[in-house]
Amino acid sequence: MNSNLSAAVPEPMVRLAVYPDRCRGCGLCELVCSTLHEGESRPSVSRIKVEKDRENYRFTPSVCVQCTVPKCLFACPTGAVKVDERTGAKYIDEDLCTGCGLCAEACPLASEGTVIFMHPSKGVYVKCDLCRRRSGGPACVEVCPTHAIVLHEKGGR
Amino acid sequence: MPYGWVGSILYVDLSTGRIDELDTMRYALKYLGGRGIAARIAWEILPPDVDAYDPRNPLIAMTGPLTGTLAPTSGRIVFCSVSPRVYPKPWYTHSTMGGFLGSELKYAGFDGFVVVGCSEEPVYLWIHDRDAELLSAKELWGLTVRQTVERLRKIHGPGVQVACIGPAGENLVRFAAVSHPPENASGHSGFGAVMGAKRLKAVAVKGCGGVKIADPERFVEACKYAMRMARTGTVDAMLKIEYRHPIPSSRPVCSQSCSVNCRIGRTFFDVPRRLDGEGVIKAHQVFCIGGVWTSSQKQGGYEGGGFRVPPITGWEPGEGGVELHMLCDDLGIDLWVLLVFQPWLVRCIELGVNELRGLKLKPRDAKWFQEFLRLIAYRKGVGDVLAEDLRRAVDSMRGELPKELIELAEVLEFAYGFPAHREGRIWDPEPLPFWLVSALMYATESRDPTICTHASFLQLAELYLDDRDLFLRKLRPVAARLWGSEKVFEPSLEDKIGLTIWCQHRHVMLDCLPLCDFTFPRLLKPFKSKTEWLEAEDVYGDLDIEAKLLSTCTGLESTTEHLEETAERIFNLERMILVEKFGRRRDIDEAVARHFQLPCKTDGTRIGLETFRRLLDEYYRSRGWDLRTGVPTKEKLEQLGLEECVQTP
Ligand code: SF4
Ligand code: SF4
Ligand code: SF4
Repeated sequence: MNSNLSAAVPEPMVRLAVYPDRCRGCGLCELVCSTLHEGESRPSVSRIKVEKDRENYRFTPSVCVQCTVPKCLFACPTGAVKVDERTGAKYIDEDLCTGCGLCAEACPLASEGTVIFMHPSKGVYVKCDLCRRRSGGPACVEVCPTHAIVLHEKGGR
Repeated sequence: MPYGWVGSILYVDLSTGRIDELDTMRYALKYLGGRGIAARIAWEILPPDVDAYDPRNPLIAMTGPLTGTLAPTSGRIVFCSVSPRVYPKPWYTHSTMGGFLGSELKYAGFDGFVVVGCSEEPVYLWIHDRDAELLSAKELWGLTVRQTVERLRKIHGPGVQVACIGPAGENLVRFAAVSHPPENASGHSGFGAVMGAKRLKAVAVKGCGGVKIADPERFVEACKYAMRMARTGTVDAMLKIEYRHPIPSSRPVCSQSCSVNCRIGRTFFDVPRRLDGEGVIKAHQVFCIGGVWTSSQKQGGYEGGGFRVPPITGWEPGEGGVELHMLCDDLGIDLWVLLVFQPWLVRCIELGVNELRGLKLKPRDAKWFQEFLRLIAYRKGVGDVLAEDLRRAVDSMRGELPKELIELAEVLEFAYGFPAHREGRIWDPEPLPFWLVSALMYATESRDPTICTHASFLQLAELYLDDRDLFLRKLRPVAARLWGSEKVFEPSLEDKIGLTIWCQHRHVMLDCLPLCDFTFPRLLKPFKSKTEWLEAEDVYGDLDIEAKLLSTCTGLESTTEHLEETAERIFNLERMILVEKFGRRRDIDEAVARHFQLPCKTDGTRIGLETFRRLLDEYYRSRGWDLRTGVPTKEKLEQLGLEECVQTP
């Protein structure tokens, strides 16, 4: 990635880190995320996704890591991927998103369509915005009973 | 589109293959969800005196408004139907289960499903995103539970949630479970056999919809508060393991949205994935009653009133305990089979009965027990008799058994054929007043009621046994505040009726919202350790959590009073189903008293028939039930808005 370009994007102030070993697959993170962002408890539109292998008791949460060099942002042709001034969160402005999917294609973590994906009924892409409008910050961190999701200051990919 | 409820209940007729929908909101305001809506549907469509295996017997599965939401421990579903296990004659009852089926069902757009009729060929119900179809299960019939799930995952994708039956359900074992692997089942009521009779092998569900929330921000706050209040989980978790934050990930969840520090999920083992030894499963969870197989819960044993019940001896991992637990899961048998059969079989040997219809008995041998379970599930040899459950089995072997073994069966499954549980005699040590509240609940319900009253009352026995004077000192103000008497928790017969009825209504509430009964209601504060409990002055928790969750989720202005009134309506409606359709009257209630003439294993207390009758009078009076018949009075039914249930003489 071109270092000039990355200099133009503010450093993320915070990001989420997940610890799969601690996750026990309760789904609370997915439910709080979708409840606050969509007004419904709906794991399929949660910005954090937990892959659940209950037979083997293995759970893998995945969520955007708020890259220092956010490929999603550079890939977006309409400028819909924006950076929140307060938190540094990369978020998608749903009014500008045309649903082309280039952001998701560019994202190094989005291979399974988990961290940045098409909202099934709205026709726009969605991703974690670190709950930028919420005074308490990331809600999933608050409800995770095992601290499998942790807020880290600074850093990123 | 409503909030909380998703609006529609599937109505599937297996005889015609027709699938319709019922409007949930026709029932929701008056009957809430779960057991409530199921009871109302049963009232409408269940013909009188129908047998469990009659095609007209509906199998009703219902979630509640909180299922699938962030509300902690809400990922539950309840099954209701006429239960083949009920002795001597099947009647309508319920059986709840956790897991991920209920939430998935709502994500697929349905609050529940009703299955009537009977299919000619084996079928399964495939429910997905606002659609449902019946598909052939010819290829699945005969498979074990795990094989069935594996097959359905191959067909419908890994995220599919399945409830199914194993060989036990297919072969109409009266205690066959509706299994929801890996670790949940609706076991006790034998509804697996109802599915078997209908030739319904499985229900598979997948959905990517959601549950709309009326006031998302306030709901999230209410959930976070509920999580804080419930963080310590069960009472015995509080006493036996110090609360740790964060909760260690080794405390598994058995349900969607579980946030608590539960002691129930406790054990992991590396065991063969299948009993044929193919592949290895990394960690097998052993929840709750599964513990008995692996002796993590040494259980029971009783001597008194002329009876001896040998204690349960599970088997350590490596000795066959986990394998037996898994076999039971795989065959689709209620895991309690061990608690009923092992002591009885051990007693057989102690009394010189070494053989049952040609089967040599070795009930302390894990290998033998594996074979024994297979005989039952496939109804081979004496397994065909025992698959009828112990009460019916001893009836058909009356001439072959000494009297004590027949009477022992009556003790082990004293309440309508359900296994004894938390009644202060056989399995759990509840002293007075705990067993007395159990006894009154047993007398007035359709099955063992204690199964869903752990946190409301019965688990408090552990605190009582730990330090009685301290317990009573701390609970007196709570009792006075809630039931207007300081004597409620005293080891006496006085002032127990209010508490009993309260427990029953809380049980209904939990089965309707739904929430986990090991966690709610929060009668007590969430003490993080025994020290905190010992030091606390005011121990009262918060009983309004449920109403707060419901209000913010659905937008209804619910209060605890509203919920209690709804629960009372539902409890009376269920009573009327038994009265009207199955002839339930006072004499049946009274029959339970006999069990409580046996001395309590902890304090030796017991109750005579006359005293029990007096308490029953008091109970009926408080409920507004006729003292002579035990039927809810016209006034009571009208007061609860159940005019349609008033009997026309
Ligand atoms: S969506 Fe992907 S590319 Fe964009 S910031 Fe997050 S992880 Fe990085
Ligand atoms: S931080 Fe907020 S938006 Fe991001 S995953 Fe967590 S709850 Fe969702
Ligand atoms: S809330 Fe935590 S433990 Fe539960 S699924 Fe999410 S990451 Fe895992």
